[in-house]
Amino acid sequence: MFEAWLGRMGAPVALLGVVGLIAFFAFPYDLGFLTRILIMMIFVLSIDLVLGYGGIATLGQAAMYGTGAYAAGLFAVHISANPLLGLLIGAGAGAGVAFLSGLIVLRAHGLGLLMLTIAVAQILHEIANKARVVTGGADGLSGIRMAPLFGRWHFDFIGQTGYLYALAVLVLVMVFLRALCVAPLGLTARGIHESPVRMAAIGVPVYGRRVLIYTIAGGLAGLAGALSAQVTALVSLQVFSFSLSAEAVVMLILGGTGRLWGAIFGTAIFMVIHHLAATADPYNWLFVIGILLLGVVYFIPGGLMGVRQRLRILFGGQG
Amino acid sequence: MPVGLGVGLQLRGLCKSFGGLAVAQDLNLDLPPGARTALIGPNGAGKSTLAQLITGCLVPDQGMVMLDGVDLAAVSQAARVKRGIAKTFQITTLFAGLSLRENLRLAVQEQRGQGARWFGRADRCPEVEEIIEFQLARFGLLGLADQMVGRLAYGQQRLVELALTLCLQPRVLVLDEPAAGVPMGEIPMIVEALEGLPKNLAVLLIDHDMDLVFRLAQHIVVMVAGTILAQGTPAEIATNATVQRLYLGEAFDA
Repeated sequence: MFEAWLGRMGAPVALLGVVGLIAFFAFPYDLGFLTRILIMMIFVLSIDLVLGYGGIATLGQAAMYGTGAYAAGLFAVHISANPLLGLLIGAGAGAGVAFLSGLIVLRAHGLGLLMLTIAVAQILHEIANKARVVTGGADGLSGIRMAPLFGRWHFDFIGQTGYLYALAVLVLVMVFLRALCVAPLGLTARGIHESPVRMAAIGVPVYGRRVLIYTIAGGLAGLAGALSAQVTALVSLQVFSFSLSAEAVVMLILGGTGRLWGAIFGTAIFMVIHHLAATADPYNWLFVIGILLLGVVYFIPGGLMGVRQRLRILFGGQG
Repeated sequence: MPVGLGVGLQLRGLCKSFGGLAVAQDLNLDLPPGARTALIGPNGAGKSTLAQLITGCLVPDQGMVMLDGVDLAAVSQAARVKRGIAKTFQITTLFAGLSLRENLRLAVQEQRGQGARWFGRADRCPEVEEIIEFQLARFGLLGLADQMVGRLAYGQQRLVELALTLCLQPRVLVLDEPAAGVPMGEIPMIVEALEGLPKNLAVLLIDHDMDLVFRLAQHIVVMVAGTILAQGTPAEIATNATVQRLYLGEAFDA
């Protein structure tokens, strides 16, 4: 029973961990960049839950990411340098903001909803900018010093601890999301995505469930923000930026919405191409991303994760 | 659930206006357990409005909707479903991207109050699966259980519509044109399914198809301009001169 569960649920996630470890040894001088990828994967997964599964249009997920980052940063500066406690605080703050803003923005639908999600992130951006005394304003929140993880592993300058820490959190988030997606709430989210009207007709309190899904995803976004604050020891106003939300949505679409692995692959490919293209040509790298996105949307509408399905249909097999 | 007890659904003095247009005027109707009542009338007579007043989709200006003597004024649409009032849709609005089994699972898990659970697999609850299997078997859909609903033939989708609604374990079922748009060849399949509905279920059939109405209904209510023009057994309605002149003749001529 447990082995069957491990085979179905555990194996792909274990593979993610193994690939992460291989990257750890293969690119020892790029750990900072690789850690950013891992954190971004968690953030994009949170958008996948909202957008891909719940069908809630958003371009403001950075609101929860940024709140988690500032909450974890301030917690580390003023209260405790314990990284795990900081993560919980960040996730809680992200979930809290998602819940409160969700109560308002999820009353709207479609384009209106999209605008409201952007507005929430902009408002928080402005608050963080004006509250210099607390957040450091445009200079960013500095002075974050994390205590060693489990009292043993120091956050070193090369970023080894930070990388493995982020990888462990990503694997746990993946396990959580895979369980959530097959749970009744996961099916409910897909049902709401397919037909909110029909869900209401079968007795589902659609608004409440949307708020619940938005809140859970907000917690995950807050977790990603907290990780970023702890690992980079800095929180800048960028955490609330529109471009962060938008880029993350692009990554998700690239990989395929409504699929957890779509978020993982889309993020990896976007970030690596971004990195290489920006190194080769710092001014025109967006061109490459633009062409890639056009290609994916036109030729493989399901995202890169849709390729496997396409091949399967093409070759007529079940493999 | 003790179906068969109680007096079922009662409408008392229902009124509803949109602006100056009265779409329901002092409507009274009883739908006891086991009822097979058909609601007919020309377009714009207020049939759909009446259905929406029953399900809680619309709030009446005056009057009461009661289930077993309990006023449902303060009961939301979602909560009415849980109390046993269900409605099928005229235009199929199923979950096209989900399998047939997943469609039914959504209804059953919600009915059992499990729809918001974070943990445990949705497809591993024996009680839920048992209800799904039972409803699939009732409509002869077992062989299609793992098909994506969007890929099914239209007539089959109408059966899924019925199965999904019955998964809510309703005591009162409002059928809004259950055979609308179904190709002629598939209609017998729908009729058979409707005749096989649970005996103690109270059914309100809204339809234009007189063959279907006279075949299924034991009681017919004729609505015109928001009021009930006549009601009685099919034989009484068929011979009612006013009804013939105002509605049936028109429909049969058309």
